[in-house]
Amino acid sequence: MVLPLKKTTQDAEPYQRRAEIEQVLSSLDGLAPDQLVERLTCTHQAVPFEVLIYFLRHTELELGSKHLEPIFRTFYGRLEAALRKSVSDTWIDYAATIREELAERIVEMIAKDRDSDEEKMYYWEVNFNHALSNLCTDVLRKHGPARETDPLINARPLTEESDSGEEVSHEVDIAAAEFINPNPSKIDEVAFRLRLMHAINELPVDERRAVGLWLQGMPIESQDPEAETIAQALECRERTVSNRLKRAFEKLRIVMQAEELQ
Amino acid sequence: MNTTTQVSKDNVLHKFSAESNQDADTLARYLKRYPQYREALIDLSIEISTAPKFDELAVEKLPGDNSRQAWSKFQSLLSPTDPASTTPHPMDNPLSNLSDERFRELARELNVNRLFLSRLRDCSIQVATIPQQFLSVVAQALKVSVEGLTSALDSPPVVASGLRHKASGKPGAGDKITFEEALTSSALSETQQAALREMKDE
Repeated sequence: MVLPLKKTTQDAEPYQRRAEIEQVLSSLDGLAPDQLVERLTCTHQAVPFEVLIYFLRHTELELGSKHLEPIFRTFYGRLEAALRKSVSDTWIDYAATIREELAERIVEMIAKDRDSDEEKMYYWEVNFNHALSNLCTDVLRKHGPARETDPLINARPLTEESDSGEEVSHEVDIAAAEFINPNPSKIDEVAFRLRLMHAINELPVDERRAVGLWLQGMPIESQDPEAETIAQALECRERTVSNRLKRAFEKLRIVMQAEELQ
Repeated sequence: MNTTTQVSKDNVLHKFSAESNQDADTLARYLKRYPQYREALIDLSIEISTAPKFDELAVEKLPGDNSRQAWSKFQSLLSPTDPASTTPHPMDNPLSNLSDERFRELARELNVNRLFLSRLRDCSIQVATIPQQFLSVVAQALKVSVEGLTSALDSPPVVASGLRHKASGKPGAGDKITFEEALTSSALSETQQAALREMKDE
């Protein structure tokens, strides 16, 4: 049986992992330890990080060092590879130190979690990417950015919020294009996303929310009254959303360009 | 009564983070259903959507291997009772604490006699020669881990009180007999011996 998460809702229902994670765990349930190790260490068809975390943090699974070691080493090797790409030397000073600290913290957290009933790492089985991103943010905050001055401080808004009758969507498109160009596919790169996330987190809250929703594909406006728009979600006018987006894109463009140059 | 207000913010946020598809449509659905947590949901959705997909890059093998060193560090942090600990806590011999009745019952379950089981309990059999399958069956019957049982049975042999050794000196590992010797010298029936031999590792 796959061990349920110990953390429960107010109705004493265990918290759920994502469906695809539960599915992989179910497919591995009941395998003999040797077969399990073979499957988890297979690089041809790598299991999600959440699955490795599951086997690493639960002592109830009774995996001894013979079987836990190859699972751990596979996890660690993949973690190092992911961190090397996301916290790159070209982006941050002391990147190697930061990567080391991140890896060390995670190893310590798993070791502590194995000896505890507190279920501190349950979320790493639910959404590893988000959990690791949060940890990265914490560590990056501690070490600070590579640059001595924050370009966001010097960024000047293109326009102040106003109700002038300009074609708002068009302006936002231009600002977005300038920010993402010349390589739109960069948005899918891990290193770019981590830098972007860091830059977005540094924006003022109203701009952060507008750009965050826009990046998720939520429309600024819609003819469909049932459709959720950024303006509805943020409880403001479309014009306001557009101005926030323009300002945010301009700041992000400056930050990302400055980092590209370093 | 509005039932949605009864759902705690933590539960709603967790539910959202466990969604397989966290796109704008999913967020819109949550915003409609839980308007009271609007800002928290928006912030969470942004964090999740901008988080890198670490799995995608993780299959790339790095030159050099720090994982062995990391494993040693990890193992040294584990509690001595952890099944993967570097210095496994010597588990109390799970066969020593059984009542007479449970001891007899276990012998029956394992299809061995009490003499053979006593030898196992007293660590008189070299663990390395005991078939893994037999150790698994015993561990399962005792509800302990195979590794824990193996470690407990690997202790120096226990000398029953009242017995005296003819030889001088303390009994050591060399005094242990092999599994095969235990089979032939414990008054087990031919059928019992054959069944136990069947379990021998290839």
